[in-house]
Amino acid sequence: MLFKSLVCCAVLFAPAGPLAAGDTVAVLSSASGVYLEAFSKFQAGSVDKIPYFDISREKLLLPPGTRTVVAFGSKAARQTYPPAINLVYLLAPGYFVDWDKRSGATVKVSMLTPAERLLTGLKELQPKLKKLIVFWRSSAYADLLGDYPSALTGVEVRTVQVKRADQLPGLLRSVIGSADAFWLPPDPLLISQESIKIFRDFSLSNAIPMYVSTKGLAQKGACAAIGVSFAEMGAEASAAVKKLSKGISLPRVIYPANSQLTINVSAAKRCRLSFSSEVTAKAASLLP
Amino acid sequence: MGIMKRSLSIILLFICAVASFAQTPASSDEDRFFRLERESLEELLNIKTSVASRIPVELRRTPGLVSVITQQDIRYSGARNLVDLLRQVPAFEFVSDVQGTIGLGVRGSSAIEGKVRVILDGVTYNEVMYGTVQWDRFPVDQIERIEIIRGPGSVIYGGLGEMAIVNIITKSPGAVAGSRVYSGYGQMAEARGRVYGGYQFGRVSGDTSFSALAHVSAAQRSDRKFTDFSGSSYRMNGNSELGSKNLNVFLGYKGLGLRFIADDFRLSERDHFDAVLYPGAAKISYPVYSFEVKDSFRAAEKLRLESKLAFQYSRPWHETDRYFPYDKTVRKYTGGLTAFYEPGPAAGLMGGAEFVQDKIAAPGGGGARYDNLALFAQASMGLPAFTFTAGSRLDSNSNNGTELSPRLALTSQVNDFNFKAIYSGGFRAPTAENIALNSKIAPERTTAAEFEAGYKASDTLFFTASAFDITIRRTILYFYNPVTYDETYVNSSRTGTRGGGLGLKYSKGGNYADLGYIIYSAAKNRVTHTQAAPGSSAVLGLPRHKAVLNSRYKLAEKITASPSLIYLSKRYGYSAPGAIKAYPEILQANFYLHMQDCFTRGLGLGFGVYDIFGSNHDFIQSYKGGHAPLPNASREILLKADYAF
Repeated sequence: MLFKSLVCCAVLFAPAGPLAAGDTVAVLSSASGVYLEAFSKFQAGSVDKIPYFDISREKLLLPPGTRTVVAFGSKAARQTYPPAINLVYLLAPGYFVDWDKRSGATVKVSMLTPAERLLTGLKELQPKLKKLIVFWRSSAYADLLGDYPSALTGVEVRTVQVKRADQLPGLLRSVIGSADAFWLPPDPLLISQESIKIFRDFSLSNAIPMYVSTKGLAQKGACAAIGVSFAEMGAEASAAVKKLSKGISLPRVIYPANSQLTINVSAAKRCRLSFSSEVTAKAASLLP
Repeated sequence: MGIMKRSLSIILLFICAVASFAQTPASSDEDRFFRLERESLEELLNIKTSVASRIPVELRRTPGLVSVITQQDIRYSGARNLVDLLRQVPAFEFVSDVQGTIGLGVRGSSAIEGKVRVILDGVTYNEVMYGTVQWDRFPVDQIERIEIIRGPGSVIYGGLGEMAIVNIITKSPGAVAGSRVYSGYGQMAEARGRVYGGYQFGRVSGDTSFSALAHVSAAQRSDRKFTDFSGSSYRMNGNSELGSKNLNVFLGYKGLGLRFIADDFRLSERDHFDAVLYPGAAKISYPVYSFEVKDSFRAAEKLRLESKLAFQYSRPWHETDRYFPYDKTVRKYTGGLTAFYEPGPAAGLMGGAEFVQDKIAAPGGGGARYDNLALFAQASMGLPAFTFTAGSRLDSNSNNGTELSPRLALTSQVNDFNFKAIYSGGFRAPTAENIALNSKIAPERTTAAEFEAGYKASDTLFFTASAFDITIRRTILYFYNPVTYDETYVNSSRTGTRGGGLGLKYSKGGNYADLGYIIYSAAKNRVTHTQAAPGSSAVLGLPRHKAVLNSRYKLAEKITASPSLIYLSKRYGYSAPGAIKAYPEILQANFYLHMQDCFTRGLGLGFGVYDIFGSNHDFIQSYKGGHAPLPNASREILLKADYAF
């Protein structure tokens, strides 16, 4: 962790390269934490030094000639940019830039693992998984996985809206029914320290596995996380910028190719899950 | 001045305390990430309101000066009733009326009868006879959100929306999602303050939703002593009862909604019009039964139609004893169609028609019927620098003739700044008893210019400043002759107020502080019956300065403390027939502690102390009506519990 922080600091404090016409500018919601982690990976994948703005500390003034902005975080993505420049944005779960108003390329690097890969991964973790509930609060997650054909993975998915955090206990009791597990997307309106604790307590006391999408959430008591690492998203953004500079058109949402599996052994044990050696071998992190 | 200094010191202390609480760091990078993204999304979504335009618009852009009290505000404030909640709005303050009731003052103008439209789930709660609202009848534990326009709303809401709109929205089936029971007990200094309980059920299944909200309460206005101008007095314990039974049932299927509300509010009083009643209290009831069918469907991708049919039966001010027998029933029929056309994100058009018929029946004849047809339209257009909104409503009434209520608004939001400039016209339609007592009474007219500027200094700090200039012409005024017992309504002179307000909101990490201040001058008031003195800047009953602090501190993961303060500068009111005096400034302090998931998940417990310092707040009459100040509750201790399952 210390090493990672040192690397991030070194990346940030290294003198930024001169801004040439057509250069890329990074805009960070905050030059700290996971934004910084993703940015440092993004920077590492770029040949030129990328100048950046930390909009939590300074006003954003795009240099003349900027062709591409890479926005880290939804606040950064929400800034007003000239419509003609390219915008690649990441770490903005639940938020989509209105691309109808933009003439430049608008590309979102998703935090989500594609549905098939996610459900297949969950099925490997819990072979008897048949009914999965997906909780959501931001409208961006309303239809997530819900329309995915269960025939493909054998997992029937039901999405449930959480309107308010304080309705969670009652909602969990009323909707969970015969579900075999539940999954929490990286929905910022859904995930808070309080709500995660409620989900975790419910999961562990009822032995209903909770799955999440980040390693940090797995550490808080989920059985496992299948998701894209923040660093991986930075690398994906870097690749996207390179493609755009070559004139290659990209879809509006791209999903990083590599997902990362994190297993929380003690939580899984409490939920009576046991993993095969093949599954544990795939895990990037095994939390005791 | 001493109390002013003390209150400022306390306010500063609170702000410092909030700031120190807010320093609590999050526990990990991911926690910080999700928190930042949540704040960003919430900011993006912001709290949208449709109260000022009927189209959901972000608060900072909506064409009106709007306040929203959220469910979270209500829950953590520990408010005992709607009066507690609305007193937290600097622009509002309550005054006394007659027969044990209180009314609202808005920005220094009395708005007791027919000037502030109160809507609960689409049902108008201003009774038809006088236009008054029984503010103690609303169960706050059922409320999801209150939207308030602190200015004329006639352009949308017609003749009852001259000065403000209070739109109450109860919990939806999805918000309840299961069952919830709650109860509370309040003890004043000398007597029981209130006991209440309720049950809520809500379920959403596919496109169908259902909710049932039931509430029963028995409260008292006060346990203090009321003394009239002749020196007669009585203890209000047992003589100022406020009882409410309320059932609100909703069934929804896709865009179709059916709602039935049965609401029986009763009170007892001895303060009457001026002199204390002997030998005992009068009992007055205000039953309301409403049924509404509402449908919303999308006729085309950008066109939505909303239709509404409603029936309401009510029996306001119903009294069968010998003091002031009153027995009139009102049947209100409402039909309306509204179209919403949104060609793009920066433009919107809304228009429609509403027909209301009030049929009044009285024993032995003497009934009446009033028809009102309204046509309304409003358009907004987003331009690069600002959004322009123009709207108008035309009301054609079978008795009052035709009234036009226009509104023009410019709203602008550039980075961290936002600005609003609004010009609007409104009116207060004479109500049934106004007309019955004076057939020549004409509508009162209001014009208002309002400005608001906001600055978001940081992600946690937001400032606002506002100014207003309101002129009311043909002011409808109530006269009561204590000798002959005659009462009447007349159109009086010009009145109105000018003033401004300041606001500061701070929110971080579960801690919250909202500081608001308002000042008004009624120098333009020419209605002698409401003047503190000829040429005075003050109106009877309403303080020229009011400051409010609401705050919330997260003491622990499940424990929240909510101190609040209300400061009122000196108020003027009658102290004897023909004698006006200045009532001293007061500072009211309340404290509420809320604990969530106590002992078992879903159980919430609350403990509150209201009027901690014993300010002995009175409601002062805002006109020359011969009524002495009506005591508010003494210091009250409240225990609350709720359980969701």
